[in-house]
Amino acid sequence: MTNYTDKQIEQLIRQAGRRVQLSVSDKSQLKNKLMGVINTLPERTNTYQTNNLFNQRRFAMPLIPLVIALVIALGGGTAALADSAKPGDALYPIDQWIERIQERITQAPEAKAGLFAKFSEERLAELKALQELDPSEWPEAMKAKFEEHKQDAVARVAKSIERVNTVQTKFEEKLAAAKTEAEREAFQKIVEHLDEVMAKREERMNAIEASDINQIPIRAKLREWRGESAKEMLELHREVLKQLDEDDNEDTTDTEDAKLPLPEGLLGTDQDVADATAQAADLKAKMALVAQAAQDWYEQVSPWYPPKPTTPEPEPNWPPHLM
Amino acid sequence: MNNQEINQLARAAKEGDSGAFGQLFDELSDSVYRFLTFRLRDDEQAKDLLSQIWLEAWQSLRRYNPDRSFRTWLFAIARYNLIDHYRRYRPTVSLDAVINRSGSTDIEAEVELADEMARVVDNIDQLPELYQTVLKLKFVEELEYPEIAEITGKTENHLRVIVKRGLDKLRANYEA
Repeated sequence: MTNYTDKQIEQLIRQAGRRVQLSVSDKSQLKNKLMGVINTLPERTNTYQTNNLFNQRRFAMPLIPLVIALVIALGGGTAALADSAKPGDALYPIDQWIERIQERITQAPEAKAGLFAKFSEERLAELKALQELDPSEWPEAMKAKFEEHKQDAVARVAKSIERVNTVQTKFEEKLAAAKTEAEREAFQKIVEHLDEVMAKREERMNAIEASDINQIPIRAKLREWRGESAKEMLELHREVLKQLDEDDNEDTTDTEDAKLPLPEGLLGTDQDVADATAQAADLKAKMALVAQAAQDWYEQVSPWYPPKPTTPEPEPNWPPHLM
Repeated sequence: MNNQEINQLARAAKEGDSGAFGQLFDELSDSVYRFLTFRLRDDEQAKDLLSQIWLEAWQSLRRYNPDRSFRTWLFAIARYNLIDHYRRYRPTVSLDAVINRSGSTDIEAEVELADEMARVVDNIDQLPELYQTVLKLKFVEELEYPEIAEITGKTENHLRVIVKRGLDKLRANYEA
């Protein structure tokens, strides 16, 4: 087994790289071809910008509200198609927008409560469907987003490792220059402590680099797609309960409607009342399930939710003059 | 040619001087070709992509800022195209086919060196894309950390950590 130093590895990389080059004839051929194309171009066009995905999205984004308005005006197939879209599908954002607009245009409390109940059931169904989804089907955009976040996390940990390294170097210098046994002991302890901190952070960096999108808990993945929707779900839940409570507590004796004579048969038979009561109880039970799912989700992924208390790392026992 | 001379040619090319652009090609095409070949492992694909990158560079010169290094700007375009190309086509050909032999008469030494280099290239291939890019730019193209930071969009601190960890991983693979 040969032991290689960093310098030897660097040298091997250099040598391997330098051996790779274009032959004289290839280079000449490629250049002639390139210059031939350049000289026939009438004007330099900025294909780099037009091919840039970001610019295409910026162009498309303002059109989305127009699409929604058109879909609602036409009231037809696209809305129906979007309604069955699940997180990650191309039409899912459309589905969400349509739901927000439906909320705004629905005024009657009973209809609004019904709408919220429908949305809540859909969220629950989506959550269940996503838990059963094959990880290899995650959309490319989400995989790319995961990679981006992973690289940012690695960069942050790398920066912190660099900082610990700088501090450790300073204390190693102090250790080397220590005049008394007590000073040497104190600096040694600090250097050892910093070694442990460095090792933990490198371990963390390894774990992040090795992480795979398929290992991330389902709720964290959903957060990528749904963004603010964890908050929305709780709002939804509160709104539904509020509506149901308002319906229960509503005092109809003072409203204008209450003064009008009730049409015959409006309240229905005793059986009708019992059925309606059972339905309301069933709805409340479903809302409780949705609320629990949302709460669990929120606790896991939301930065706004108070974090669970953790055992703090013990403070290093450094002498005051070294702090 | 140093960076200042390269940037002067780039300024002229930006004004429409295709001759200056041709000189830039002469100076930098080998570097870009090496960068591509390590990843693609296919000579023909590397040459096709090389042409595409240079044409794109010519057409995007209007966006080039003359205060920036043209070399790093060009490598950023090359990296973008390489990532995009690699997503669609996976390399399959051995790098042996594209490494030019030095013409040495010491066959045994030559074979041993080629074998060592093939091993290092194979091991580099096992690293994540960012590590490969940084190691190649640092040790093959001998760019400085600020230039590599500009190409990759990472901080210099992060790049130093990547280089150290990349070399540690390569060494661990060698000594295994």
